[in-house]
Amino acid sequence: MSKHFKAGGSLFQGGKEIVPAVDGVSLALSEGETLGLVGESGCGKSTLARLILGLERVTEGRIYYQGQEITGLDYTKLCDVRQNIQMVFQDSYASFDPFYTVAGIIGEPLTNFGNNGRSLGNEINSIMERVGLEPAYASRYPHELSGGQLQRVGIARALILYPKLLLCDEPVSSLDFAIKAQILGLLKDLKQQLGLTYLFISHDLSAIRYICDRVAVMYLGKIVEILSMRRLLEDICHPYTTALLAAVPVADPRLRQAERGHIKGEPPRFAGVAGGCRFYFRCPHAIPLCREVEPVLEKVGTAHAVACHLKHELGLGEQLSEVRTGGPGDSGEIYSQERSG
Amino acid sequence: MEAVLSVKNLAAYFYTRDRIVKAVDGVSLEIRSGTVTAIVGESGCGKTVTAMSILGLLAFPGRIVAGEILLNGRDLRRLTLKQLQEVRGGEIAMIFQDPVNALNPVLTVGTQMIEAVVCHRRAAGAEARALVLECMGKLGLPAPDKMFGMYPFQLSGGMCQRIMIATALSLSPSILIADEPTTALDVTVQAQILDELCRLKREFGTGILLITHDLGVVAEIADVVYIMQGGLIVESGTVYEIFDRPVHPYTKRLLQSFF
Repeated sequence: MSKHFKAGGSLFQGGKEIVPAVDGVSLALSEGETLGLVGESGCGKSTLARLILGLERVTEGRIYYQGQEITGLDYTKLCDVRQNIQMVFQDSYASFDPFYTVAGIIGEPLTNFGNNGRSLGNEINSIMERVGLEPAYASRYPHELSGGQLQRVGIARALILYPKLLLCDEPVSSLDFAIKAQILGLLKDLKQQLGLTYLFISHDLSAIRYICDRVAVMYLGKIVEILSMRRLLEDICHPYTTALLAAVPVADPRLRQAERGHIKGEPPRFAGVAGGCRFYFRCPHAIPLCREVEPVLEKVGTAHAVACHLKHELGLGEQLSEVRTGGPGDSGEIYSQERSG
Repeated sequence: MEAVLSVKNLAAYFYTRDRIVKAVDGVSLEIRSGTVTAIVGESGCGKTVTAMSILGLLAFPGRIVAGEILLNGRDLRRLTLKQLQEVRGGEIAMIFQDPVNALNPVLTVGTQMIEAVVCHRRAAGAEARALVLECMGKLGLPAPDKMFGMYPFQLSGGMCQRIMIATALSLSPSILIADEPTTALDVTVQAQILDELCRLKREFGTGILLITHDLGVVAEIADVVYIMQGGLIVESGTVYEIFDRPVHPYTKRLLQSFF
């Protein structure tokens, strides 16, 4: 049994300007897998998650869950699907009703699905125990809790229906590092205990590396590379993925790089992209072809797909792993190196 | 090198209705010019309160109860409000975690930058404008002329943070306090902002006090590190000492929890 998602291009129409937040994305997520979705702010990661849950209307394309199409379902049918797909939000405090107690927040999905009986309290207690919340917190209000505790409440609320798939939208990005490690550990444990499947959205590659099996890299509404986590350093190929990885600070002052091979600037506005590769303007390797023709996502290995015209010429992986393990040269070389093609 | 700013036995308490919260309880640190000094710790350990105390920005019910804050030998705690205002921005500038909210939403960024320059009587009129544009150019902001007339909401978080740094730079302070300057930013933008801070230190000899909880950022740009826990400095040393030979169990735990 596998879960299949095919989320296809969606367009937000606001006034005259059309912003293709998610533009022709195809992804398949198998059961028991943790797929990371990484990219800069505004690349469409969160929109993709909201599309899957039916929180946004799909403009084009289809989404399948366990072989059944779930795009454009009516409200009651969508509710059934949502029992199996739940979401953990980035800013958990903002996603709670401040007038609800913790027990009320966690229990709401259950009452929504018709469970008003005596078991409600027990269910809430057992899920709170699972996510590591003291039973005493049940009667507290969101403002009385710390960021880490709030995120635990968010996870408990998402899990109380025992869904199959959990969409985690930046669950740790607003947290302190120590709390972040705790929450990531918790998510990892819960996955094993409950046999969950995660779509883990983050802009933080270190968190992704810790928890994910596969990672999809998104840039301006398109997936530019899909990699297996285990072979990240060997396979990494797209210049954007390389740049993203190079931008993550390394926790070793000896590997400090004075002027690293950072990509400069920020993603252009969508209106600026016409034809050609979306990464053209920031890509250090761009050739004239990149401006003309948009590369398509092509499979280049068993679990590796990349959308780049220079995918065969850019064997960036080896050099990057060399840099990260303190090998010769600094990562500036990655970008100053001549293309062999 | 002589320390530009030294804080000795600083204690800042919050007098709430039911108890006294000892947010900072005996902190001593030194900042030298041309170095990045980092204070690292979890949220609530007193990092930000330390920074706010240095600038005399601690709000009610917080109060500095003891200690000395010496800027070039002058105790900032003894200054009058007017003298303190000269110091703020002029000698010690600060940039904040959330750059978009730190700027005034109804004024253009240019107006806000000029305000700082004029307040400190560094320049006026066309001269002030030229100074501001020059600083924006130095920080690698594209098309300063155009950006000068823009409002904060029209700019990205990274751009707003650069505006904040450019404003600080326009007054050429000897100390820059950066309170979690990159926490709200993307990794790619974070890397660029860290590069800018490094350049500031190298080219202008600014002493930077970096407040952060990200040990990766510390490893990347800090020279001297203070580890803070529960209002106290538990360990301090050069960045190499801290990362290679951590002594305090809390420091060890921090380094382990970071991956």
